[in-house]
Amino acid sequence: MIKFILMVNKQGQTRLAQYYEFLSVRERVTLEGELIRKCLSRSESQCSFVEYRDYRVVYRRYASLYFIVGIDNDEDCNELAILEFIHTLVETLDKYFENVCELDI
Amino acid sequence: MPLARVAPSPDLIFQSSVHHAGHFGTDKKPSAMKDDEFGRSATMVFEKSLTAMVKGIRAHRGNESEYIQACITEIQKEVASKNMSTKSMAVLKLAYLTMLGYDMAWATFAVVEVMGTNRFATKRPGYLASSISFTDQTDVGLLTINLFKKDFGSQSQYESGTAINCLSNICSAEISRDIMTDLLSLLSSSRAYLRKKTVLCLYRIFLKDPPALRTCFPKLKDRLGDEDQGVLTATVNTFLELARKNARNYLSLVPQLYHILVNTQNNWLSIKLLKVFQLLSPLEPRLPAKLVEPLTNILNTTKAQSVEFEAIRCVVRSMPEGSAIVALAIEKLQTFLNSSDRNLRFLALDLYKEVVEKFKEKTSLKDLHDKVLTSIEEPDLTVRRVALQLLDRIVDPSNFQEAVQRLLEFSRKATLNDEFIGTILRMAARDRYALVEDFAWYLLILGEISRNMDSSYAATVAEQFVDICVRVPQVRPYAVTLALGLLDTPAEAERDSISVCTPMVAACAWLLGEYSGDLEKPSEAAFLSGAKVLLTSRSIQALDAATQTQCIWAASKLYLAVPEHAPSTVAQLHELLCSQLPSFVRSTHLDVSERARLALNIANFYKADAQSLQSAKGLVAEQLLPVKPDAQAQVPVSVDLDEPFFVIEEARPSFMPVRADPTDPYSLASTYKDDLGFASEPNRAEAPQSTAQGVPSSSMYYLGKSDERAAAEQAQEPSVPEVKDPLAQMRERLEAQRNAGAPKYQVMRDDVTAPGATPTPDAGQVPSSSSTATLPIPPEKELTDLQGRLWTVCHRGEHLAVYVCIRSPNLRKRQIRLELRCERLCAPELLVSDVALRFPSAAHVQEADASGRMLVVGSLQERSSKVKANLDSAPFLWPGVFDLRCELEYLVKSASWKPQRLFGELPRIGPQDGVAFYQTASDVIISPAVIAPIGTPSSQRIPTRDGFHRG
Repeated sequence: MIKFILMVNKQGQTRLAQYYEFLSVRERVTLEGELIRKCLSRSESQCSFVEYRDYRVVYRRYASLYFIVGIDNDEDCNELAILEFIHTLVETLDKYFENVCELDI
Repeated sequence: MPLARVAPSPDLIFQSSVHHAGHFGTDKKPSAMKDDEFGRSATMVFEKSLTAMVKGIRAHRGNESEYIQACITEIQKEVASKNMSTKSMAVLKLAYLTMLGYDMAWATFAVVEVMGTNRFATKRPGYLASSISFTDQTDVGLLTINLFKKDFGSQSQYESGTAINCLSNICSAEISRDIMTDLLSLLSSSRAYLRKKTVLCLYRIFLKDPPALRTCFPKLKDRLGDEDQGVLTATVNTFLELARKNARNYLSLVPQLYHILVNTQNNWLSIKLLKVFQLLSPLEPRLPAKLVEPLTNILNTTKAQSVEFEAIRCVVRSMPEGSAIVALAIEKLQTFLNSSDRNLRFLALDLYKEVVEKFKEKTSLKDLHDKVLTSIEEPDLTVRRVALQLLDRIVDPSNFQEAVQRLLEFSRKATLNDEFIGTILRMAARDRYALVEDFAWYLLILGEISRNMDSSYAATVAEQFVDICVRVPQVRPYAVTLALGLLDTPAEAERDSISVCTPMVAACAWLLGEYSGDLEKPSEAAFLSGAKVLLTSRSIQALDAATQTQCIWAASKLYLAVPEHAPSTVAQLHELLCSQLPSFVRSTHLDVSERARLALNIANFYKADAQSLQSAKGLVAEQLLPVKPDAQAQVPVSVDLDEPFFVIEEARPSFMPVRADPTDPYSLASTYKDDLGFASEPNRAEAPQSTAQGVPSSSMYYLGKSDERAAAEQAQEPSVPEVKDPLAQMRERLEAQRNAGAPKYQVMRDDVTAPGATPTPDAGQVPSSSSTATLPIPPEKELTDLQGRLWTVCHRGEHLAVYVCIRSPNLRKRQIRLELRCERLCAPELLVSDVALRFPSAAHVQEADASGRMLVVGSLQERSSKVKANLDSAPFLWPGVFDLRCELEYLVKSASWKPQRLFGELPRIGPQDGVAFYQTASDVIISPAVIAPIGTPSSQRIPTRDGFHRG
């Protein structure tokens, strides 16, 4: 199951975060910090799945915005489906804002 | 019309509220003015919207907490307001602050009030705040039930939707019980939006209130036939999540699910269905056959790679080996592996791990092997790690050498090469070097790895190096020469920092000392150069203490093991030891100093005499064998260290000093003097001896000559023409050895267990480190079931455990019902039988006779059935907890055991035919807690003896 969704810009600031399980504020900050650093440091030629703590993380970059989704590691989620989900999310945002950009979020 | 004006800072607001309260009040919202008198509307001035508060927080960078505290004070006032929109806004702001980490538990009642308003816009913040802040402990949670009921029946689907959403977040078992019927009626609502939300909400409720699942199941099952895609997907999703908890309950859904799978075009839905089938197919043997057709269909037709991948995964997990569909799936997986998309490659590798594990036949593994080796080179760490894990599983002896060579090459290229080396070591060590065929070659590889100074695996490499030599006697001649080569690094090489890592130095030193007999004949030169390297190498003294100790002892072992016919070598070695060891004696490390002193004394004792040295061979004669790690634990304890070894005799008065007062400083002084006199005697005897040796460099104050000698030796070193890399030499030698026909290696895979230890079942077996070994799942479940119903362990001994469950007391009959059960804990070859529990004399148990209550008649299997015992409650009619100390008696039999070893120290033993014993245990404690009925009985009735103790 999806545990969290983050939207992060290229500077590493979290633009939007949604958690589906309880984490204290401090835990969230450290999680976001470490994860963002990990994702941003990866180049385009590397695959979009990262393992981080107990999560399997699927991320995708759209222009200057990273969409990061954390899933349970032990249940095997379909990573490709999550990528498609991210894309659907982006398309939805695009439809709503008409040509969405980072500032809309 | 804005809800409130934005104020730049709280200070400003305060001023304005004091000076211009009336003025501000005039342009306030009319609705707020209507209800309140003037005074209250003045407090309204504080009101600001969420946006304003957020902007305010941003404006106060550095002292946010102060600003937020001010806001909370405002909110506290606003929450008390009668104006619902004010209150709603206050709650919304609080919800925002909660997310920043501020407590809002004090405002829960206001939240409920806001939830109960009629306008959707004011209601929504309430629902939001409650779903964020309510927990199972929130007592006002129960007040929300009626609000939910009202909103479920609302005209607007969004009001109902918000309510459902909130319910899924704050539901507890109590709320669930009251609200279930209303929620179920929503399942058949005419609006798809509500049906969908309800289905998802039900999952959250089942987590909190599992019994609800039983009542909802039929209605939820009907939703599988829903015509709306959203509802259908939600239902399948709910069932998937439920099936993860216990798949067996959902086998009845297979026909419907199958129907949906065949007919749907929805990718997301297909993926979810395939996941459900993955969970169900191991439980139903007929299911895989049914699934072949739709899965083949999906594999061949689907455009979506996510669905295709999920189908492959489903095939891999649920289909039997060797079927056509498996071949198809693996073929598809191959195309994934060869695809240009890095994500697909990663997933394919990941899934291949499962394929290799499940399907043992190595189809097309050759291809895979190459592919994996290329993926190892990928720059992506995630891919690389998975590839290495996969490589670990697919290597076999035939391609192991190649794989290791490739890994070594990569590790030289890569900057982070520890992973490669770790994989090499892991692969080799698996099942006690099952993959390694040519040990000499592998030792050479280890030697190469150890050249890499900063590897974190240095210790493991050294360990394997030693372990292989201990286990494979045939490789020792090669290994010893290699060790000598590794240590004897030419001076230039040392400067190029290609010398070996520290743990490896210790390993080589040990090998050289231990297996010096395997040195190539004629071995005298090797002995000499070995000892020289161990003691005179410049870098040795810079290493850590443990390594230095190893080197010193290895050198002295060389000296002790010199063959008899080489007296000149003995003399040279003796000379070397005597000249080099003193510098180690002066080491700051105690260990090194002590070991060097010992070695020096041995050398001084045997001198340079080859004949007398023969008698010292016994010191190093015994061969060392691989020892099982837990061997020490298996040694039976024969000595109790807590017991004094000797009976302490009373000091006889005649030996006592005149003034036997131990605190008397004078009497102590006299003893010191005696001690010193005694201790100084051997010193005096030793002193001339050391000077008599005529080795001035052994003196602590001697500085000159030993340095000269070292310098002379260093000067000799460059004169050796060989500046070749020793590893290269060893490589040549390996080639030559191979051409001449390599020796047959035999690995001692068994470990030595402790002598006289009781053999454990796994002793002598090779502990398999591969993941194929499965542990049996302990039959814990029934036991935890028992404990859930207040069964407690009242005795747990060597052979059996006794569980007791105390039922409620029957006051009319003045009885407490106990239920008792036994469980055997010992090995099956022991026969435990006739278990009886003897209660203390003051407790009257109806069912018990003179020998107590029989719990088990005959032999005890895994667990006994329940046995009742009705205890007279008269002695317990007093509030409190009582301990009932009982005795347990049972018979232990074994055909093969010798009595004195196992039961020698138990309290009551009565041998029967030499093989059976009664054993009693007296620490069985049952504690019935009894609350007396009205009217306290007299205290005389509480027995405090006879085994009763008031708790």
